[in-house]
Amino acid sequence: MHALLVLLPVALFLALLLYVGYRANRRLSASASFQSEYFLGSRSLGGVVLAMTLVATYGSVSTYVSGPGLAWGYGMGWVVFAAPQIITGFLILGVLGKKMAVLSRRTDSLTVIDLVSRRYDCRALSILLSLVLLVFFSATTVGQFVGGAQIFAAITGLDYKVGLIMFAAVTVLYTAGGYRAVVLTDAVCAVLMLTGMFLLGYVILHDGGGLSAVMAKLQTIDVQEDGRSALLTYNAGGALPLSLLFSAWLLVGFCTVGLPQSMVRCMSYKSTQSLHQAMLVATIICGALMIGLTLLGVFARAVIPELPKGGSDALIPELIVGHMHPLLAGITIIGPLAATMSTVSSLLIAACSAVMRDLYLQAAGHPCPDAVSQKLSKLMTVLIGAVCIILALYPLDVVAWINLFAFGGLESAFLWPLVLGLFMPRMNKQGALLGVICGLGVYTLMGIFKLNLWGWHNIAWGCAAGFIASMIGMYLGPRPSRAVAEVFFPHKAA
Amino acid sequence: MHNITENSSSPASPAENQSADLSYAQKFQQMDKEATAVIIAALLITAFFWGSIYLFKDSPAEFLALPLWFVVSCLGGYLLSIAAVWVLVRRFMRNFSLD
Repeated sequence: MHALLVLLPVALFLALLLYVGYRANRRLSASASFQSEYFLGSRSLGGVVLAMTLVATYGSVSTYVSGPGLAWGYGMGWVVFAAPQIITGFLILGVLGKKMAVLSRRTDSLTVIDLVSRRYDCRALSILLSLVLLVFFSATTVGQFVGGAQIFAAITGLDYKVGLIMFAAVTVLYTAGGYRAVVLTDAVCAVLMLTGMFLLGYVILHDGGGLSAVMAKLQTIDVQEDGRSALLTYNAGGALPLSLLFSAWLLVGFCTVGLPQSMVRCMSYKSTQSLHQAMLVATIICGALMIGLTLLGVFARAVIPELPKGGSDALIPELIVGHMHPLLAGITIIGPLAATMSTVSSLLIAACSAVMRDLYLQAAGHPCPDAVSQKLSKLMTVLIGAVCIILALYPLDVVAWINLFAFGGLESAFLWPLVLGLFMPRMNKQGALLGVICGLGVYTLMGIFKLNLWGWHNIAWGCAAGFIASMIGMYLGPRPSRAVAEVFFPHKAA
Repeated sequence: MHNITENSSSPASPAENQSADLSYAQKFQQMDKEATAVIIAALLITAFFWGSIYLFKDSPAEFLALPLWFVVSCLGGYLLSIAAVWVLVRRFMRNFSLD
């Protein structure tokens, strides 16, 4: 009975996503250009949907599970770590949004790597970035599947594999319907992520006896020599060094401009009006979700004073199971599932585009014809999804390990070629290639060897190395051609 | 009253003017300006955030039972971000055709 009540809202949610995906799929068969519809939704996104899909893609199962869990331990210091995300909602849209929209239309680009190819005309760079994207996106997808399935198992008491196959198969199925299906389901997911957060907030404050009682309780935990609780200091009583907190402004703040799954969204909206609206809506939702969920983890300490047996990742499941009516639990668990699925769907469709457009172009020497793409794209999406499901069923250490590096790795690979390529006329393929290799290399190697230079996160070093290498490569190589300058820098091409 | 009707019916209202007037090169000039404004706004928000932590981190004052540094930096920073985007899209960003 308990499991049934929990499963009922989840089943309705999955059915709703399939229905939305099915509706979008019908638009697909009616569209003039298959690839433009399948990979970009025919560039027709309005402001609210653009904002929702951006935030839902960005917010993942770790936002919902690991973040609050860490905040349970560190207190408000972890909210300081998460706080840079108040700028994440508008930064990429404001910096790259319009240029990517104008240039992708002008050059007929459907993927981020399409645009990179037009800018640099460098085969090695396009192949390298396609592979980086494919490997990191697949590993992240597996990680998301594992995280989502674990929380599902913890809450429903059902077998891990049953839950995994159920929601992962639904995700892959609707993602195969194309980009429009992905962004519309993302919008549904964003709403449910917010709903889950409000329900969790209600339960925590209710069971904790109100905000004042919760705060009074927190003041008695982890009390330092000066009489204040470490939970209520900005650096968790010194546990979080300033250099790490500053690094967060790069990792989840400024460098998120380099996330390719966000970039592709900049190519898919309708008009400047939609972009402006999306900047506002995304800032409101992104900040609310990221600060809200992390803060709930802090408050949860007053309700669950002992660390759950499963570690800090078990905090949210324990809250949902131990403190909620089964029906309410069923609605709340949709939050982390929605966070998982909306991230996965966007990564899958982008991974499919990397194979069908970018790698196909490099392997065959000509762009994939619409007729071929029409036959193979859905199959490719399902295939990549199926591989990820299998890897989540039979976890490999190496995949879990790549997943750890994926977020910052994508940033350190894609940030400079795009930002410098769109804003610096002198930037050339030598700079881009050297920047990607050094940025990603330094980021990954420092992670592997656990080099910790003055407490800064590796993203700071990867980002700096990528920039310096880009500059060196740029000045060693020639200026880009006249033709490139006229398209990408019409205002500076003399 | 007279003015309002005149403005809204006039074909030369500012928004329409902007979209009609920008050439391909002018759009790029405008987009460079907008990107600069957005980055400056993000840096100002960063400065406000750390400035308020520096100022209030040792203050025992509370607001709604929450420490003052937290309310100003995290909640205030969030509201500041929303206000900053409002100003950006109203004052600094222009509408033009993407084609």
